Amino acid sequence: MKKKKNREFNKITEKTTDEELVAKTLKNPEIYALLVERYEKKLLRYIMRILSGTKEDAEDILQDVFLSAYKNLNDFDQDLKFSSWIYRIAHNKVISHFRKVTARPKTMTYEGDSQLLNILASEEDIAKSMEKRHDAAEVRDVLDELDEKYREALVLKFLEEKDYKEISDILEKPMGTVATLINRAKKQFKEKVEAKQKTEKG
Amino acid sequence: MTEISDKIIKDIKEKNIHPKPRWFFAVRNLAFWLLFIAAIFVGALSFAVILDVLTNHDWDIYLRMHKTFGQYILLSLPYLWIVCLIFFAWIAYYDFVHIKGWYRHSVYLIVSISILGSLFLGGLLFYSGVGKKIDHALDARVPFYGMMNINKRKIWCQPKEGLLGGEIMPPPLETPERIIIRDCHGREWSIERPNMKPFLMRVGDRIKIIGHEMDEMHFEAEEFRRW
Repeated sequence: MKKKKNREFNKITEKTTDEELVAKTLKNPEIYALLVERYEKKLLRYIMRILSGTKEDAEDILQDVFLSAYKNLNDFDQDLKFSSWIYRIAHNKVISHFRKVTARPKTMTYEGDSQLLNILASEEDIAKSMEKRHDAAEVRDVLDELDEKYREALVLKFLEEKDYKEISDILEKPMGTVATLINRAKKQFKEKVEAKQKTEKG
Repeated sequence: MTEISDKIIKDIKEKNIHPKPRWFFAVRNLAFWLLFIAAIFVGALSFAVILDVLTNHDWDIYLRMHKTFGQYILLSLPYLWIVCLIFFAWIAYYDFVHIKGWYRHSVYLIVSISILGSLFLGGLLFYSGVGKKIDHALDARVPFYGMMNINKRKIWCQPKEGLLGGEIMPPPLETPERIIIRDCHGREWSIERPNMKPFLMRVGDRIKIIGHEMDEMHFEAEEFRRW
């Protein structure tokens, strides 16, 4: 029996798709560990970026996401990418967490968040209004000030590098709505950066 | 295995967690579909009754009530059914959020389809007389529903203004051609009908009469209308 399980593991390579892993997990639960390994870092980073909480909170949510995904594996829609589906579960778990926690503690910064400003600056005119380099913590401060829906839209588009279809599947909104959300989010982000600049100058 | 994947697999084994069966999700999705269809259908029934109430309403008597037409409209709207229609449109919206894959469509599109579906189907039900049947059946059998029609009762309980409504009572044996009405206060009226040919009426039917009060027991009819 153990040999049979090992053979199944050995057949799995990096080229094995997530969707194939889902099918194999339904036959052998231990294969789920491979899906967890593929997504644990990405999802933890995503949760930390959109969550107002501590790292421990993010890790608790991450475990909850994986267990919930496992219980609902038969609900996985083959029309979606597995990544969109599991990001959606993470998004819903974070929303539930927001509902439970009323206090909003200072959030974590995540290495690499500073790129958001560079990405947006290349699209917008933000760079012109910036006189100094902004680090991840400063970007995080601006993100914190955004409405939750805008913050998540920016994180998904520019930091998680998801396309419109994937964001639509994660947030469960039509693609037109996603485009509007991202435009408004960029506008609000720019306004907050400029307001921050003025305060610093003053 | 990483620490997290190890913990997840341990949890799955120790707590004996299994993926929920495929049929569970199929049944859940089917239930949301059925709820969506039910919401459109009940919305349609509501709209059929609204049409029936509005088309059979006595829009011409507002002057007798010393009200403006605007005030009379506010007094006459079937609020219970309007709330019902809005509630089931909301149910359709709630369902929209839960039916698999529907988020790809605009919420306005889906809610518009559900409302237009209700209006179209409601129109058909109205023309086939279902709206009237529902209104009458509820009015006769559900006490609470009768209370909601309180405006209609009030309107037709103003004999001094020439508006009298009520239930037809058995006539006295010696004058079987006479029409006796019991009004909303339980008072009985003998209806005079000079040169008038009323429609077929039976004891127990409810009717509305436009005319004028002759004395405390007699009312002269100018026009009979069905309730």
